[in-house]
Amino acid sequence: MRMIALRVGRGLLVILLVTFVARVMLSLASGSIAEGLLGSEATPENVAALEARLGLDRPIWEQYLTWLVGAVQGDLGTSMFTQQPVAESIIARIPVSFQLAAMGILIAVVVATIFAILSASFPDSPLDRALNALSSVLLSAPGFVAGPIFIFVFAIVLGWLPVLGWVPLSENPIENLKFAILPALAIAVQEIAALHRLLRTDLITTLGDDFILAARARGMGRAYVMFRHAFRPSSFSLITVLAINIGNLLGGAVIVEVLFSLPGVGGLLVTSITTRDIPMVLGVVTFIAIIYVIMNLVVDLLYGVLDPRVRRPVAR
Amino acid sequence: MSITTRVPTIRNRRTKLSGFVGTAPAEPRVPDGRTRTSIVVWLSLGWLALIALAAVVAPFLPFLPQPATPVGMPRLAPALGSFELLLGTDTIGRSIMTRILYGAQISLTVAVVAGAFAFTVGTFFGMLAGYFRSLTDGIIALITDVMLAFPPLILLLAIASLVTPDVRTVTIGLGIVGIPTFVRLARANAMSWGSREFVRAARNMGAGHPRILFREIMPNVIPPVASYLPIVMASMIVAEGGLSFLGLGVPPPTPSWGGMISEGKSIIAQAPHIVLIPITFIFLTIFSLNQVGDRLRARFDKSAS
Amino acid sequence: MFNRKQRFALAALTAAALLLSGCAGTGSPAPTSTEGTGGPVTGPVDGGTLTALLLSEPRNLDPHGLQNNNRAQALVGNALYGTLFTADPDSAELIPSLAESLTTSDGGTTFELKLREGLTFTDGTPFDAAAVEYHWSYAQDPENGSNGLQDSGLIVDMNVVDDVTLEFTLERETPRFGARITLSPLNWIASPTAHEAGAEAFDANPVGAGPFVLDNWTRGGTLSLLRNDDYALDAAHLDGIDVQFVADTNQRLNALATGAADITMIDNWGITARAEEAGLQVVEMPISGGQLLAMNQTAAPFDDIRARQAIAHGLNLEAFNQIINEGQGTLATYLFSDDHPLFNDVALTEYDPERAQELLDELAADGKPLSVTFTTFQGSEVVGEAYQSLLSSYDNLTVEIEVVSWAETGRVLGQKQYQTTIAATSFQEPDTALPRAYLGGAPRNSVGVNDAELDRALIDGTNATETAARQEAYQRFSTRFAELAVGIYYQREPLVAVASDKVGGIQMYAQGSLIPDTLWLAE
Repeated sequence: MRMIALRVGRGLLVILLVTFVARVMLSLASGSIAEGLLGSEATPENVAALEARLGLDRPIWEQYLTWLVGAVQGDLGTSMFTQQPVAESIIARIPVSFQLAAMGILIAVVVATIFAILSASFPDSPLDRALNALSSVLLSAPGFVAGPIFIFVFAIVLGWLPVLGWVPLSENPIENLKFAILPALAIAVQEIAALHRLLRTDLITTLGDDFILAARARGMGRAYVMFRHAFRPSSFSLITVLAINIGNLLGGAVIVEVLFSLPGVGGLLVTSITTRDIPMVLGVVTFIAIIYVIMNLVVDLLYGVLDPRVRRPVAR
Repeated sequence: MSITTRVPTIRNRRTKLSGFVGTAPAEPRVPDGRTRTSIVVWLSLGWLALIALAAVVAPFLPFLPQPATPVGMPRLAPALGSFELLLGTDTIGRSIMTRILYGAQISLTVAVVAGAFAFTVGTFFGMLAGYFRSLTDGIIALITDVMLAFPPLILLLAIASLVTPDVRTVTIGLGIVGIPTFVRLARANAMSWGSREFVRAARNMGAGHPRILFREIMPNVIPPVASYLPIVMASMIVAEGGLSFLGLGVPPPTPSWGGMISEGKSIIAQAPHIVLIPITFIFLTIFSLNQVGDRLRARFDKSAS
Repeated sequence: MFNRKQRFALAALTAAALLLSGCAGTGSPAPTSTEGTGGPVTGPVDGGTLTALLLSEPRNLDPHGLQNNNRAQALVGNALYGTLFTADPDSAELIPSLAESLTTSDGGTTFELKLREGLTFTDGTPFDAAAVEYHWSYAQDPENGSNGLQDSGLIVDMNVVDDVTLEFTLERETPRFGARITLSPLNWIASPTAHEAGAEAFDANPVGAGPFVLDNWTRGGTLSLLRNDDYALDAAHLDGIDVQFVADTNQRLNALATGAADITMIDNWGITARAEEAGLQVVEMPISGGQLLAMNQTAAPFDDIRARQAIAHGLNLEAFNQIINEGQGTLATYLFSDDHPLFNDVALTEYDPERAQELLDELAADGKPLSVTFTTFQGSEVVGEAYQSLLSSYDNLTVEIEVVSWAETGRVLGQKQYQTTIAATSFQEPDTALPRAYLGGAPRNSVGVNDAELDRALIDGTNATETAARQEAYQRFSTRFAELAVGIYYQREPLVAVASDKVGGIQMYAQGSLIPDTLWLAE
């Protein structure tokens, strides 16, 4: 219990620091939203006046504190650019990023697990070698490499799928899938490779353990042994890495979102940074930091659940 | 099916079943005395050497046009006949061959320098954290967490805004972003080495912390951590490519592989070579770095996963 | 003159020659259609809901916050509030819509605006001269940040004579003030009662007198409009219009090609060509002036005329067009478009690479070799790179590119911190756009040109009433402009509506402002 409270507290501290540093960095950046909004009317007087109206002339710590007080009460302020509430804008974009992350991870986990089980079942066989080679290839294809290739093959050459666009899942699931599958694949590619390698190594290690041999000696079938006995202890690293990666993806896979022009959180971060829209940047950063902290907590807790050996604190 | 009937089956089929689920071979498998480096790793090293050579030599090649000069109509497909048109032209009519070679400079410089920077700083602090534990570890771990939770975009943007964005600022920015990875690696290693007997022996003999750190811990921590360098360098190239792709990296007209992908993505249907060529180069470079890195890790990092 | 957001106000149109007698216009405005390809053959057909894709979602529905041009939300403004006037796309002649006439008896200083009789807003309140006065004074107050600030600023006095008549006096003689109305929110009159209720209330119920009313608006989703059957003029053909906002031009085009949307606005020649290839209907708004490379004369290096001329002679605009528009753009060799009544054949720039090199060598010999920084905004880097590429073959010339984010536009444009950059002065009527951009001392004169001869030509052109006299004046302007190498016009601004071939009745006025009541959907 105390451990959990400690972790949560630490997580909050992380969020605080992240948002504060982000605020400071933004003020160091050149240009300002006032300049952008005024455009060719941006005489120094006009800029100063607009900045005063937006509250940008007060000292940084004071601005940050004001924002913080509002934020803990759930009010993330209003975007200086769109005049819309920040929280609403972010929430509107979350489903897209979440869906991509979910689909990408799901594809990755399923494929990687299949690959890993095959690999571990026949280690060093030609099949295993082929899968390892495939993994190496996939590992070297980040979003902006895999994405255009998928677009080229499936949308342009084969014409099966559209190049750009988005229809919300709630509106039309079939259309939505057609738009979502390529970006999800682009995300999944590197994940598959990473997870495959991890799981394969762990599975092979576990399969060499005595208790597996004992289980087999007692007459349990290969598949049963694999799934019931070998899988669980091998999944620690997998889950750790998975949780962290999910956390990153939930914050918006920026590159893929920009490449496919998707209305997700990542794209929102990019535009809000470019326009120096301070409340929006802080809002998105807070969201990303919260997800990061939560995922880390989840991993810590899961570890405790999965491996009882970890539950007792290590003596120093 | 009774247990007794199962066991003889396994024994009889021992050799055929070796490798199947749940059977440990009856004899222990003795690993080869010397691990042979596969052909793929050699090819990877060759590719990296080639790219590095191209990056260094490009400005001095007389038959290579400048990266900003148009050499023909825009969006020409690759064609044999002249070296400069070998890979076609981009949206401005510049030689893609030139831009790829000059782009290699950016990618490799960033990878090497940012990687080295992250390695040096990260390993140092990681060692401190792993060795001293308690408060030092707490603080360093907290800072590392903050850095990891921090969207790199903002940091890189801020840096790019303070000084004119160029290769230097991108490198420093990516170097900073890469520190946490090395901190964690070094910390884990330092923790495990720090609890070993010879360290305690050194303490008992009166050695001070700095001496222990640099004479006992560091030589053991560096090889496994350094074996991750190629892999981190690969991710630096990816990061730089991603930044350029978003328009936040090295500014035009300096060629950069990521920037070239960004340029070509909207006309992928009309002129796919503009996107596919830099993608191929990035892919091969990252692949090679991963291969080399895997080999190094197999050799040095016994706690590998 | 530069910023896209300001373009509607900057590239002003001036109304055509004075409308001396109030012509009882027909119900539908703009009888002549713009040039286009495709479109349904038989029609119009009543019914159906059109899906339109626009570039950027407005912050709110206050007419003063909308922009009356091709890029922005003109369609929404025209739909909800109707228009006082529209304009003929070719001659720029003012065509009355909800207004009946705009007349001046003293050559452009005092005007009389007459509305149609018996107009009401959808909330029942009267659409009278007082309503117009309310909105035009609202625009004048800088605190309100209206997009009509610049244009309403010319009005020094307004007087409601009776329910349908508004008299107003201008600061200076502007015979073609009517054009200013058609390019700004001054054209859109909402119900003052509803407007005064505040932004939130108004967004929920944007009361106007237009051919459509608001059905529903989900921000980030769809803005739905329904036909207003109480519209004073002929009711619209469509049952409704669904407007969605998509920033990426390629995406909008894709949506049209796949049938997910019916009509959109495009501001890029290359993409327009692709739309044509895809078999879509393309309707271009004829427009003069265009986009140009502005050169800042108030500071080095372009304070030296030789530097400006060197670039003007040295840049191959055909090749430039090849690069940035895939060869599909319309060059802006002459000031006016071919069918414009004021057309003259003075070439604004002449490609002469030898002369360019001579000038560059001269500058180097004087110890001032030309070094240029091209300031470009994110998203337009290709223009800067094309510029640099095409000039890289000259000796004694170096070009750097500076990419600036949106948040820095104020510094660059507002405070003139640039050497050369992209600008735009598009117009149907030159009277307002050109003096605003090039008259010595004008606040929006961002290149800093101040030449007596140029000024005289501009003033003569604005004040003259006969077409021949105006043509002569603008010919002097073009000649002097070319001599001084004030700027390099490289293309006409694309103001294009792209639609599937089921959409008929596509008409635009002023700066590509799409008219909704003429639109119809074939079966």
